[in-house]
Amino acid sequence: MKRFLLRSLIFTVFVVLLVGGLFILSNRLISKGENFSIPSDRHSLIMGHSQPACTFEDSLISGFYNVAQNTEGYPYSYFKARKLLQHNSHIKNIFIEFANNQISPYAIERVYGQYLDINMPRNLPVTDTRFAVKAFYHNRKPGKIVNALKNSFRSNLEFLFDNKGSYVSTVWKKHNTPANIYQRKADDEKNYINLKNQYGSFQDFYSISKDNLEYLKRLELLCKEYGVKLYFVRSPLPFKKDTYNEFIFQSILQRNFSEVQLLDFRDFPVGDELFADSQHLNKRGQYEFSLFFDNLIKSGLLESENIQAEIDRAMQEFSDNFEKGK
Amino acid sequence: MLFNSIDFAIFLPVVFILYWFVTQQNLKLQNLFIVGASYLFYGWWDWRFLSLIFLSTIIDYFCGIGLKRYHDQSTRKLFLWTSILFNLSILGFFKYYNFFLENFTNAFSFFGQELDARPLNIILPVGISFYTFQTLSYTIDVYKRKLEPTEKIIDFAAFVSFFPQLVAGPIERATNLLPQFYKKRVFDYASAVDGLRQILWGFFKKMVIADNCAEYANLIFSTSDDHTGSTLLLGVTLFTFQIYGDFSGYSDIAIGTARLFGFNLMQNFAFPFFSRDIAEYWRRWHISLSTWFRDYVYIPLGGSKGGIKSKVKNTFIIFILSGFWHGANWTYLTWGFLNALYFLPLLLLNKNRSNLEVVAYGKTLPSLQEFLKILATFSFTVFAFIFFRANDLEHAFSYLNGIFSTSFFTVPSQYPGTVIILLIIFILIEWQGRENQYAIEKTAFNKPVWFRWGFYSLLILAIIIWGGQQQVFIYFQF
Repeated sequence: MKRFLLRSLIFTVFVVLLVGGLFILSNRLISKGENFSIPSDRHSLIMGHSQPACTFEDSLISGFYNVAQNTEGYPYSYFKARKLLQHNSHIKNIFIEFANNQISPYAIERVYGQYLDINMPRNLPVTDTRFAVKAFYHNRKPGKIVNALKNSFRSNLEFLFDNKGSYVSTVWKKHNTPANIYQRKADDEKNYINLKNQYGSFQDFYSISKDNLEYLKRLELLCKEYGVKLYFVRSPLPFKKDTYNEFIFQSILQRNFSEVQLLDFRDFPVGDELFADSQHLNKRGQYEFSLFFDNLIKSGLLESENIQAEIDRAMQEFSDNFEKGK
Repeated sequence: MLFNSIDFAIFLPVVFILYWFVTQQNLKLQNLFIVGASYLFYGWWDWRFLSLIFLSTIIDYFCGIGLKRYHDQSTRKLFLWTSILFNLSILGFFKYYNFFLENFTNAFSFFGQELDARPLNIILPVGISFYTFQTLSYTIDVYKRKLEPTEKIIDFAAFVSFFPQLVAGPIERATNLLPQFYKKRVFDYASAVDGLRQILWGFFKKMVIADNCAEYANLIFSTSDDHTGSTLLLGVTLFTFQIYGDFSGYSDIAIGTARLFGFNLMQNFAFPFFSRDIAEYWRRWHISLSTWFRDYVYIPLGGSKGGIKSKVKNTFIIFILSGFWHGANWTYLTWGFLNALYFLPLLLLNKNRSNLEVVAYGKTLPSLQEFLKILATFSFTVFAFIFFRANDLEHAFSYLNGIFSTSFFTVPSQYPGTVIILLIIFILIEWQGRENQYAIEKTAFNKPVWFRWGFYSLLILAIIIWGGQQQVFIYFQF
């Protein structure tokens, strides 16, 4: 029995070291610089979660490169940005989604929570070990953690052995914008119930996700370090109840990120036919918005004295033309 | 709890350590511990299930005692039928009530009479089809005086609830398993190592083969109207490997786990896809169930004795019952019926015992004739599995129509390259180990330890890398 236990233990340690070693090696191989180069004509990054992923089609916007991905919390955006800035000195701007749902307590799901096994596999090669350990600790669900590690290992091996391009283009630019049209009544009811379920108590309703916002602050400081201009973006949103915490949103913006310009497209004035659901544009909406945005950038938006006023004027003009064109 | 879950990964070592270090000195304690661990394992799904297994244990235990104490035939028959009726009633209620109700009301509707009968919202207790059959084997064998009934309720409870095989078999015979609870188990190093090896192979079959095939099979079956004939054929072929990997994988894990605790369970799958005819296939597929039906239904009905009519009738009965055992759906009955049709010609021509030994025994490759027979037998089983997997008969026939269309001669729209490569490697490993209890039983047996550990590490890496999205073991639903 002792011999059995001893040999089993030795074998287990052997396998853990072997798998662990291969895993660490795969992370090291991937984290090399050439895997994180982006085209030299792309000087502006778009980052964040599914909202900017569905909003900005970078092939229609000159000089922009969208690496936003669904369920992404600010820590992962920070680690991505750090890696990209290290290896792409031509990046001049970062546009990151500053959304109401990124400041709410529910945002923790995008950091340590239920989306751990989606975010980790994509970002482990660039994530700090300390953060990864902290994320696993806070998650506390063995199944999720095992899944996250397993999926990370698989993702690494898939990339290393089936490499069709850089890590950025292969792993970070994987996104499908839906084509369906927003069913307002049905979706609104469902989302309202979801909101109520997520926020069980009055305190939760008005609290914020500090862990998530901490990394947004780090991103701001990182951009300053690299001499890169940081902008916040708020994507078009048809379901206004998602901005229930607007006064906290504005408060954080003014008090904690006063040097960062917000490009607020929340009230992009188009009908439900350009939205897929209560939070995302659909393919047609993405197309229309991307052309609109590209136009806006080319007409010197970022050099304007009052950027938001310019955005509001442009949105009104777009709406008038869009209605005429119908 | 699922075998491929964190819960079981914690449960098993804890139970193993406690079993061998705490309870080993005392047989009663050892068996009591087995009962406790098994009830914990089973109750993990739903604690309400425990009442049924407890009730089944008590009733069959006392029926066994009654069969021993009373000698007159009518009383003994009373105890036997009490056990049979109780076990089949709970099985019938939980599994078949809504099926019969639905068909009953449909029959009335057909004749223009509407019945207002509402189906019940019944949860099917996990493993009920397995443990009811297992306890029935006990009372029937005691009645036939093949087995002395036990007076130790703990031993009997351990036999009924033994956790490795409780929820998906093998359906153990009391004559094999129960006596193993009468003597204290002593740790055997070789047996334990063999058990671990079989567990590893079971996980490979389940997580690499079955779960990966399942992703494609589920996709193709759920959107069968949108696919070409060749894709549909690929879908049902992948399902065939899925169910084999899933069920035989589970059996391997169950048998391997039992060996860790000093128990020997029966082999449940003996490389059925290398069968040269359907009769051989049914001697190698879900052996515990097919032999149960043979011994407790087919033979009492007369078996192969009697005229052709009797043989035909008995064959259809056991295959249809076997199909029905799997579930309350006409598709399972049709699957059973098809297998009866396949089997009958061999039985009537007395060729059902032509291929008793392992194919190409002692040889590296099969002959061309053997290979063609294997392929033909496999094709028949794949065809029948269309009915096993389809949602209903309409879906099954629509699926069949889809296969046998002109689009059969096109390249499949779904091409799971990695899965196909894994399947080829899997078939090769199964082939090389077909003369053993399980494929890797003797693989690298005489090689140095570093070689063996390297091989096991490769399997573990394969499970980590290619382990598909977790699917529930198919046979849990039976």
